[in-house]
Amino acid sequence: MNTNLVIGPVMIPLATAIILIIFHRRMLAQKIISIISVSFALLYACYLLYRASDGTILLFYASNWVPPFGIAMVIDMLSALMVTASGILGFVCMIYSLSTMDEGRLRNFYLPLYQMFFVGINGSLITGDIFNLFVFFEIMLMSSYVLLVLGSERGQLREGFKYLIINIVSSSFFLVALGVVYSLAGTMNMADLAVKLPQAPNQGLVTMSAMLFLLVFGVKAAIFPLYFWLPNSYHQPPPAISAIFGGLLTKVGVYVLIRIFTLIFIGDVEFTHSILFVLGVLTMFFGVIITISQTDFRMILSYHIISQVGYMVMGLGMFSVLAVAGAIFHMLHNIIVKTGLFLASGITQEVTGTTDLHKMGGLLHRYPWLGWTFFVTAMALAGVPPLSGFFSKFMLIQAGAELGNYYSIAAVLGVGFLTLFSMIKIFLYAFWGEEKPVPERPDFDYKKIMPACLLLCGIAVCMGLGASYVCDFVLLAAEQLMNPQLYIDTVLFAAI
Amino acid sequence: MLLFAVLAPFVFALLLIVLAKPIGNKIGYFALPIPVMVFVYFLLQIPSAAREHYPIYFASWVPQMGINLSLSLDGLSLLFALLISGIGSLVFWYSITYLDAKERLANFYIFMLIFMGSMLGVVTANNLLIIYLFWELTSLSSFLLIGFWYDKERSRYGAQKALLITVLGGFATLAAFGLIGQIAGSYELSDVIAKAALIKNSPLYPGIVILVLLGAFTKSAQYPFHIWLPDAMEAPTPVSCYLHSATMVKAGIYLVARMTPILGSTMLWVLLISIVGSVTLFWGGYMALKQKDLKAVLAYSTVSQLGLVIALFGYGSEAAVFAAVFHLLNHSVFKGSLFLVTGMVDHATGTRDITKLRGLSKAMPITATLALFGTFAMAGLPPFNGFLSKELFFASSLETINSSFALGIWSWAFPVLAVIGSIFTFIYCMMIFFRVFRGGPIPDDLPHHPHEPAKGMLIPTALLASMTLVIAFFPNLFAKWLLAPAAKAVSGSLPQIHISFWHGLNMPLLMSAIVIGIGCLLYWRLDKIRIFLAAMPGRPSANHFYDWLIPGGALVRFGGRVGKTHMNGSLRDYLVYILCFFMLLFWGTVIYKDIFIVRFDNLAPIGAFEITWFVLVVTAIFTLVSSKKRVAGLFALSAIGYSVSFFFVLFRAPDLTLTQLLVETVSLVLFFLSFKYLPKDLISSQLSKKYKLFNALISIAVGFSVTCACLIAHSNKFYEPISDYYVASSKILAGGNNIVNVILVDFRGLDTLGEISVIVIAAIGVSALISLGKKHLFKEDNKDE
Amino acid sequence: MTGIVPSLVLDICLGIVSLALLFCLYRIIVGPSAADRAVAADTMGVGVMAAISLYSLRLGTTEYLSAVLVIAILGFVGLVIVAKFIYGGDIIDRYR
Repeated sequence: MNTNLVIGPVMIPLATAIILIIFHRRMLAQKIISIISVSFALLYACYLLYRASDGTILLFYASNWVPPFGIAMVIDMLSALMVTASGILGFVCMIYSLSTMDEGRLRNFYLPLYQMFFVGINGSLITGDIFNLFVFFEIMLMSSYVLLVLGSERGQLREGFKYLIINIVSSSFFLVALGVVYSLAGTMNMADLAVKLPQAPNQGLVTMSAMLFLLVFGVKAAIFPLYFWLPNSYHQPPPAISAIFGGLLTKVGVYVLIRIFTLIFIGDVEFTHSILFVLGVLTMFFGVIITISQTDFRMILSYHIISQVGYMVMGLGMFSVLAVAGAIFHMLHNIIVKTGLFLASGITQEVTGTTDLHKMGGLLHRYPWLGWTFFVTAMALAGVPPLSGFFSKFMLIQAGAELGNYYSIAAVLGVGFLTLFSMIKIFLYAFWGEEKPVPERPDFDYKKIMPACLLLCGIAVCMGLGASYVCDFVLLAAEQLMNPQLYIDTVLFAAI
Repeated sequence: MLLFAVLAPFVFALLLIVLAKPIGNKIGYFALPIPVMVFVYFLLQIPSAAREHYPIYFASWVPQMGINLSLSLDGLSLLFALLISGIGSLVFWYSITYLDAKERLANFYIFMLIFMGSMLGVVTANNLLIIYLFWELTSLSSFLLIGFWYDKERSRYGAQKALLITVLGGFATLAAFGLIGQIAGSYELSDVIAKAALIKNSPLYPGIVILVLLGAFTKSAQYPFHIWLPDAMEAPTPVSCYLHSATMVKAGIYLVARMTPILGSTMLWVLLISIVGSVTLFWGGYMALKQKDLKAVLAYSTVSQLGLVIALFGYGSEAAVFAAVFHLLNHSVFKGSLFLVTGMVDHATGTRDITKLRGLSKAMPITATLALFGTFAMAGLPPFNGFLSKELFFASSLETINSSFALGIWSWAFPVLAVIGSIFTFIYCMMIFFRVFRGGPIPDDLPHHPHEPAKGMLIPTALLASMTLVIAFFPNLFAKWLLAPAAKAVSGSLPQIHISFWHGLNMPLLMSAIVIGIGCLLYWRLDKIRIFLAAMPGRPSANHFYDWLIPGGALVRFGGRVGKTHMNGSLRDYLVYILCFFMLLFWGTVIYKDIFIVRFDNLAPIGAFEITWFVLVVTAIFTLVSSKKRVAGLFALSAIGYSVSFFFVLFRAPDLTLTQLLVETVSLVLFFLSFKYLPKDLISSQLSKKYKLFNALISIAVGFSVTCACLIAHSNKFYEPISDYYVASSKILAGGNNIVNVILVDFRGLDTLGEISVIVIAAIGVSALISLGKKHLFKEDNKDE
Repeated sequence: MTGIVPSLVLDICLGIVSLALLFCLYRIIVGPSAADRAVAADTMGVGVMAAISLYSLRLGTTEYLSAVLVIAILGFVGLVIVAKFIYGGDIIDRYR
């Protein structure tokens, strides 16, 4: 289905960003425009999801150059789901940002950068061209660098620098990988690559380039030996920014891994996906084991991102419809829940002035809404039924049972247990226990900044209770991914 | 209707969240009708369940995963549901008086309702995953209730312990359910039961059994997982009564009973369950005698009694199952009433220390009577209900000697353990009654002056305690309507057992006599025994392991150690790891797949120019990395840049040359602009030789690897590149002579748009950084880090 | 334009320019002062200009001449910046 609709998720934030830069001296106008834009983007994403939900693949050829020569933008079920998730996050974090962000950052292009970040995210999610993916990754990364250091606090600059360097190194490898693939297949369009690479005479070379891409997106997704940059850098910026980073940034890396390892690099599944599986399991364990030693609210959450990414990569590595569907479900669930937890940590920080768990206590008494929202969201993360995390994990368990891969079941449950342990630890330290003095802020009402957090908590609950709808979506997405012929035919031959 | 009965507590819990404020501290009266109504509903279902016309409910929820909201109320479910709602009603009633108005009452009743709903869900669910769902909810609500007084350290400790242990078991159960579902193709209990033979023959069967039992044993506090139960007694006493003696801990037993038709009657199943049950029976009784706190005694006694019931299910014969179900009912009744009595004693005297309490029957005669009912029933003395089920228990334990699972002489262990465990039970029951309520004048040093508690607490307790007699006098009524249908759901056939006090002189009666005889004898020397027992070790106990692992921080320290090995904050180390991983991946693939195929015949010729410029670039690179001053390094850097631009000339790329030159110049200028904020010396001058050598090695290796990757890729071009199309059609279709320009602005215009955006973002970022950074930039130095 | 100047001459010229660039690099390495290096870098820019011009002569194309112009202009800007920087004094002096 060839339609201009597809480019919307990129164009809405891009246009908004430009308008916002024009209005950069008028704060009120900027805020109003931002809110309208994120709401519209969310509705738009939902409409795209609706359009994609019957299994059609939506297409857009930039400048109407047909692939493989021009750039194709493609929305299949997976992309539509991810764009919707990013729309939700964009909306929620905007609400939260507007109620908490300090004047200095707002005056210094916070809102346009926020929109540009979503240009990069959404572009990466819908592009069907691997070089174009590089470009959108650059947009995403560049805005993330700036958002990360915006405010120029020492910790931000220090960690931002590490983040920058590591990502530049990985971008360089991205270019090398692109060069290698272009040399092998002579094309950059993903569908065209999917036709050519699995048929290449020497699959070993394709595997080699797959490994290069694994490295590149492994860094973005923060999988096992490549996650060093994540915890500290997510710890530094204001909570709203940590929240969108924690929710989305790594997931885009996972998204791309899922995309390329179900579409392009499927010639040697035995080798590549076993590596993915092992790395996924290691990521889960390393992430969660380091988590339990942390005593800082946001540090715990940051390390959890790593272990949760492990689930998704593991699901991808198992490579069956159910496993990939589980991975996608887990990704969607995680985007929502992780952001909710980061926002809760942000509110806690607003209230107590610290993120150190040892310095807080007894918050449940004075801030019951915060405490219970956190509790429910944390339980969703730990996979307690009937919240969203349970279904994604159980899907992975089912996939493991189906494939006879019992390690995966053990990993899912073992890591789930440790996750629960660390979430309970936060709850015990921060919300239970004896009350500790908090800085007096007479004009401050924590309930005013709660809506964003509550909204995400509500979505997590709904994703659990309405898991059947989500299942339909993710199973459809996984079906499409595991049978890439439809994608290939649509992208390459729809115009003809 | 069944669905509503199960979900009603949840619905009302939600309502209470909203209504808590307007209702205020009368909230208990609003919560009380719910368990009562649910209880009445289940009472009305007794006839239909006995006729096996039980109500069912089915709605598909997540059919893709086989999760259906399917409920059914067979005999076993009904027995549990009645216990849950019946004792629940009494406990709610009791709590209204017990809890102070200053407490967080709304929280209490909401958690209690959620808990009750979850328990009802567990016992009525007809889908394995729905069982699991409610199972986890009971763990969570139990966690919240144990930690009800969360400002107390012990409460938090107990809550965390209970949650971790029960959830661990829960996860094991989930794994087992996943495997069962895979084998049976469905999670519906009825379907799974139909496929029981398939499951038993599966190679996964032992694993499934162990995982299921792990769940059941952790929940039911079986040795060695019992350690959470005594610590859970930090909860308010009604909670301890309701959750940790009468209902929640029975969920594990329920699971064993439920799974018996699916997994039962194999050697593994029978032995595991009956051994663990018997050991728990013994160990719980032994530990109970060591305790001073009344609630701790009851906690360990619960452990012991649960072991008894589990052991009975393990024996697995029709009579044993019936005895198990009977004892389950009895235990809930007498243990529930004892907990409520303990609550009243605690309330009235302010302490639960057995060594301090004495002679309370003078001040609290009614309470003492109720305690008498409870303790004598538990000790297995006639004419209370405990006697009847204990007789059946002894009879069943004797049966094992002749059972089909020949254990030879070892099978005698079961009746022996049964007798020893019962002797312990007898002694601590007597201890509770005679030490606390008799035995001299009331001591003066009690925190409060003892008095008879309020009616609001007495009446529910009295109702429950009197049940010990009601059941004892009309056992066959209960057997026919409740117990036999429940037993049938487990063993598959309706047991024909007539319960009576007098069966004639037989072995069970003899065993009872032994228990009472030795019990009395030992009780006579109780103080000596207690001193002796206090000196005995409480080991082997998993407590040490738990305390070492979780609160002791071994797990945390382990995590910290793992973290410190690589998360050291050093950018250079991170890069080393990433680059090494790259080389591992790359060379691993190249060697494993044997793809080092490089051809030199299609490369451009290398002439004198290339070599000269190569030497130039390499020299400049070495200058850069070895320079000590930043200025020198900078010049070397621009020398590299300018030299590289000439390579673009050599390879006929004028646009790239131009770009490269511009970038070089601009970055040189920018560097100088920011120069005064940078330290003069490069850090490399302070590093050790070894460190630098290692860096150099890594760099060279990475450079070599990338070169090889490019060479390999270049030597293996499988397809014609799309660039030919651009060459052919840029003039015709896009109307431009310069292909590069046409590609940039037309064929791939979107990329260019993106790159322009990147530059805009960078520009905005620089501007924002400068204007926000001004206030930090010149007044730092006194900050940390 | 090919043929106006024999290619042997061009090759020799290019060789000489390359040699000059190496000498410049030597000066950049050794220093000793920042001014020496600055001048060396600028001279290197001139050398690259010469090399590119000679090479375009050899290839017979004018495409590269814009690059030469860029070096000519920006090299000057760079030198001015560097000169101003050196004139400004010590590097870590943080006066404003």
